[in-house]
Amino acid sequence: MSDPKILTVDDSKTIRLLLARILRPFAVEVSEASNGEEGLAVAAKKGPQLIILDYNMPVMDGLTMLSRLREDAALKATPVIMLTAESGSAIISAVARLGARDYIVKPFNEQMLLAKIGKILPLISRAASGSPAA
Amino acid sequence: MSAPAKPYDLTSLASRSLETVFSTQLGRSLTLCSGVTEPSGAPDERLCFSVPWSGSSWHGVFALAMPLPFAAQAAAQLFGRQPGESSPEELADVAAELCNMVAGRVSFELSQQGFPGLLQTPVVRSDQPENAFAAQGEHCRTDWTCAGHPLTLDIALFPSP
Repeated sequence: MSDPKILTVDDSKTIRLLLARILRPFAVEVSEASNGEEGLAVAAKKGPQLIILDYNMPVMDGLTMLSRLREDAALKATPVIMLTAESGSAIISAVARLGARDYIVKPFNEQMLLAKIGKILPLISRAASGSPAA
Repeated sequence: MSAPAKPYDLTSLASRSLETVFSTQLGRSLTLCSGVTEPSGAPDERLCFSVPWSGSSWHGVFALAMPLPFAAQAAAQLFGRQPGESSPEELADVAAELCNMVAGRVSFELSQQGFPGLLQTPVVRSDQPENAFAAQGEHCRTDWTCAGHPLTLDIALFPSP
């Protein structure tokens, strides 16, 4: 069985490299995109089990990408965790309305990030806690 | 027409925002300097980014400046690399992202005071923030040291037209 795939979509290379470094110890395949438009293309090609999606990006922002995902028969069920520097209630509501599974406000620590990912990909929470894989 | 109510205590707001980002993302503490610190090194050895912010009654810009060696330390820590392994572009991106995170916290703090607004993406500044913001609107500059490096956070707010 192949490793679970995670797609990270963020215009900041720093965030993409940071997420890749945090996920490196786990048996997951990480792919990247730098805006929503690119993210949709990579998602269609890779079929990820989880997308970590930035809110504020040029070309196509995270909310637009999320709404496009929900219109795509093949991708609409893909769990999405939104990553945002802004934590206003209007933004959180919009993200929830479009069916994001969870959201993370920057700055974030690794434990909190892995806990949220682990709720969607139990492999991560088992590995992070040192439990043997099922 | 009366002037819009002003956000208050920008210095405390700046402190909370910067300290939250640096402790959570980098695990580093900061020291607030009592006076204005002179930037160390040549201008091209400093990285300065700003994030525009727009609200209904106020708009503004939040700017963070740091020396290149500090960005290099932060990059090494964030990416799990050795110091010196990151490219100049990656160091600029680290500074931009730290500025973005701080701006997010400042925006959150302003929304808590009843001034909600939205952020744009970070842009590089070639000028010194203190020159760009002088004599405009509400301006708060705070100077810090972190791991021996001088950092500056500027918050400038203007009544929206």
